[in-house]
Amino acid sequence: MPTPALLLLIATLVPLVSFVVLVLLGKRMGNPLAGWVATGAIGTSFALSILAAISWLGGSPEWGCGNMPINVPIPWVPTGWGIGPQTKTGYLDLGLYVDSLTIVMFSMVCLVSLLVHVFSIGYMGEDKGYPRFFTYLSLFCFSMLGLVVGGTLMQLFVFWELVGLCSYLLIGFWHEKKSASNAAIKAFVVNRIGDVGFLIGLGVLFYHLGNVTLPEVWAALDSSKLIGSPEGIRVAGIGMFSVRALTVMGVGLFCGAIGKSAQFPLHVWLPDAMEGPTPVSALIHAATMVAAGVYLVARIFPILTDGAKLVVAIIGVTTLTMAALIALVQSDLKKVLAYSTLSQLGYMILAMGIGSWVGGMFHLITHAFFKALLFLGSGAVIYAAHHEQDMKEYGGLWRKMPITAIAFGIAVLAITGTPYFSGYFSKDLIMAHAGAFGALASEEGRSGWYWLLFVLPVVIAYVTAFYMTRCWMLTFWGKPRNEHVFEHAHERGIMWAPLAVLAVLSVVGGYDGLLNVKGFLNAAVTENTKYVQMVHPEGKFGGYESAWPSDEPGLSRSGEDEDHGATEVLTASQAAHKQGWHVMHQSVRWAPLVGIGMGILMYMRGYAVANVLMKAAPVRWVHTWLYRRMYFDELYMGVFVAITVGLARLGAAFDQYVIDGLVNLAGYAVRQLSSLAGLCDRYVVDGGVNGVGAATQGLGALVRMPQTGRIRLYVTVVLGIVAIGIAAVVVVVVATVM
Amino acid sequence: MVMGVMEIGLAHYLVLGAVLLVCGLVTILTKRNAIGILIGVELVLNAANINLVAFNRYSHGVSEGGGVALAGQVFAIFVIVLAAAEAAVALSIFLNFYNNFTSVDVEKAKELRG
Amino acid sequence: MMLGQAGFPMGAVLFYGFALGAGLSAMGVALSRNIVRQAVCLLFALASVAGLYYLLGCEFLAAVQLVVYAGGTLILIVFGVMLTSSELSAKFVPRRGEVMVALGIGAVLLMGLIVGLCAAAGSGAFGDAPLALDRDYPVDRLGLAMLGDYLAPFEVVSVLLLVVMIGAAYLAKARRKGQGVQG
Repeated sequence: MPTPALLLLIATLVPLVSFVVLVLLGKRMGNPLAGWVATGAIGTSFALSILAAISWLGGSPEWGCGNMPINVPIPWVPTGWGIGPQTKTGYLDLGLYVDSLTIVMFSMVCLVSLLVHVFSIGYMGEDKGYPRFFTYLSLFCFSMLGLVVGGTLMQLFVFWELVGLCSYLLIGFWHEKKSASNAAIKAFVVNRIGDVGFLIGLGVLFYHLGNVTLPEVWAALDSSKLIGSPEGIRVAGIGMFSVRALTVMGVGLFCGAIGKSAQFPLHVWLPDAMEGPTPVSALIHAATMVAAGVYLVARIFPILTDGAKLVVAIIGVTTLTMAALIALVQSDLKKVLAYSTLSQLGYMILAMGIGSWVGGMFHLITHAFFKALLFLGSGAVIYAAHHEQDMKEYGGLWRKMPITAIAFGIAVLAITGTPYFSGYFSKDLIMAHAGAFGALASEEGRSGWYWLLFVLPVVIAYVTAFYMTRCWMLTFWGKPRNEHVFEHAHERGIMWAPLAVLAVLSVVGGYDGLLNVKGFLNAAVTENTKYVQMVHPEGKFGGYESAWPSDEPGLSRSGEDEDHGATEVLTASQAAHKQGWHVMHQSVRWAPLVGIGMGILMYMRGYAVANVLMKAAPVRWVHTWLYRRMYFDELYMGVFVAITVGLARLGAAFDQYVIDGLVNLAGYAVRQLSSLAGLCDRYVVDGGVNGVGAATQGLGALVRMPQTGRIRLYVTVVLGIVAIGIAAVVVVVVATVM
Repeated sequence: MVMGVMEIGLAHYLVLGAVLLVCGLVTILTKRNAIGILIGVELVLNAANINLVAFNRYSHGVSEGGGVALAGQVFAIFVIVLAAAEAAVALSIFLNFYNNFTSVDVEKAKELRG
Repeated sequence: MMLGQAGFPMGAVLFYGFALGAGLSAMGVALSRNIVRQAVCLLFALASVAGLYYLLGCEFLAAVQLVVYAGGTLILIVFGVMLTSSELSAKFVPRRGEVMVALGIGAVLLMGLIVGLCAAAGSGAFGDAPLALDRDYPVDRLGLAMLGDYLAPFEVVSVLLLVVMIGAAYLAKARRKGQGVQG
């Protein structure tokens, strides 16, 4: 196995070891040793991932950054048929797949996990479930890293479910709290709905191909093949794969992402998931696990048809709009952040849907840094404020927690897209591509509604800046609204140190020269394309070069913007590309300024201005509508839960009246019959039974006689019979021969 | 066909195996000491082992692929292992028995009589 | 077998020597009344059988026979003898009738087996000479076979050994507890 793959494999297994150790010895280790064991494990993983990245950058003729990915399929279940020269044909594989995307994701997950571990040592320090918490965290790290290095959709699915389990365990970590255990169950059930879709997609794929290894799937179902033949893709040795089946499969797989990344309409679980400890919200429900949905879409991106991509884009844009609006009015600090997470995930999903692969993944990475920072900052605040989460009780905290306030502020600037912070680069990339997408669509003569995919994100960029500023202002600025909370607030070194690291990353995460995330992602596209081309030289692989509103491939494949010089962009789509950047710059440039300015103006004096506004009835109505989260929970409660409960009631009634009636009737009949039978029993059957008993006893006495209990006698008898038998045979044989 | 006396064949080993078997059986049948019976059982197992190994050597020494066939030897090893296991369990049973009856006379072990 | 090539039938002489040793020792086991003497005879029988394995080219098996059987099982038996010995144990005299029956059965079985063998040998079922092998059974092959074709029985035997270990330990423990049923 090549070095980076081996390093990543070991890095994946280290948290598993830590998990096993903590399961067995965690209670005995106690506080704080258990935490340091888990932290040490993820620290080791992080170090290994950095080593892997270095060796990856060094490269070799067979693999390396911008060269080739590493594909290590491991045959698992024999199926007896299927595609694929790279894998042992006829197997359902597990395996590793390492490209630049894997390297970047892996390092990011390790880094954020490490920081969250360190933070948790402080945050969870006084919790009695301390060892259990770190046990779960270790399991989560293992699952998440396994998901990232997964080389087949099957493995992705397995670890997908594992991270879901960890999420469930950690949301319900304080299971004695009713709301926490309810939230955990809700998250689990809602995720299962998405996973059913994932399974259906996986099933369709496996049924047709007999193989779910990533490069094989890409090669076989490359969506650019549809340009020549709009009715479907012919897979050698398998047959026709109709475009309808492809779309169903793509949407099915995407359903998994909808559940995991909490997209509309399955978004309802994520805000409730904030019942878990705040470090968990930072790690799982902001930076890593919920991003796994986007990661999945990135992995299946080359096989998504136009229809599937349209679904992805619409879901993304719906989520980002809806979530940002709800976030405007929430008063629980963590709920605001949760809805902002939803909104940012919506941006990523939208990016996938419009074909901006690099944009989506780039935003995933930068978002992981600043959103983890936001959550850890909120965790520090909540810890300082005696687990008070309502922003109405905060205010003026910057005087007590300056480092947290600054770090939080940096994250706010990053998420609003302030120039030269990391969010600026990634968000602008997405919106530029959305603009190019709209331009291409109208060039193709498609409906003007396609421009909504550009307009809504731009509008929401303003809204984002506003609500994030509101959040910061209400927490840190102004007069303290709750003296008790204010008096108690303080900072702890072990908790602000991770904040500082994340703050630095939130600033530099977007630059090409420093971390060069975008460079890595562009390299990933090159690597994967080259690899598939090498394994399947028979056709041109264009899965990533999708510009689906037009039939021409070549747009937005790698997100090279005009400033850096577009290299492989075709002339036909270059115009659209340019136009995209242009409209983006025109429209988004003022978003941070306007949003932040309005936020500062409105919340300079705490709730004063807001309270004035609330006096107007329409504002109040909208506020209530948004505050109650657009009544999604009530809607689902009223429709799905009510239907389920109604069905259950119906079943119960059926049970009670029909089934029970029948049973009682049967019981009565049996009783009457049995009294009749009793008479018969007493005279006829008993007589027979007694007779049999007596006979048995007599026989038993007879048989008892040779049962002497002496083993040697038994052996003697057996051997004697054998001897007699042998003698008889010999005599017979000899007689016959004679 | 009958072999020369100085040419050792399969039959020689089988006859020896038969002799050991019968000696073992006679031991089992005549001894009242439980450990004596155990010794007889060991003899019987050895007789079986001789047969296994001899057959492996003479009739079945080469497998179809031309390599050396080892079934007889492998099973002989299993028999040895099982004999050791059996001896261990049997002796602990005997010790229990001895503790309950202060004797290893199998004639006294007849509580199971019908 | 290399031994028989020098004109002098070394292999045959060794076979007869070992066979005689094994047979006589086995008879000693069958006929002796002293348990200690029986154990010693068993030792000789086992050692002779180990020699026969050697003649058959199974050096490893011969070693196992000596180590496990003669070294392990027999020691176990001797321990058993010592732990259960009392002045009575030497005097377990079998009844004359039993002995006669046992000897009769033994004789019939032996006769039957030998007659059957002769018939089989006469019909040529056994072949007549050792199969020519370019080399003797190599131990590495044996190891590979154990962990290859015979892995399943191998594992089963391992589990069995574990169970036996636990069972023997349990029985020994029960013995210490249940001292009440003396005599």
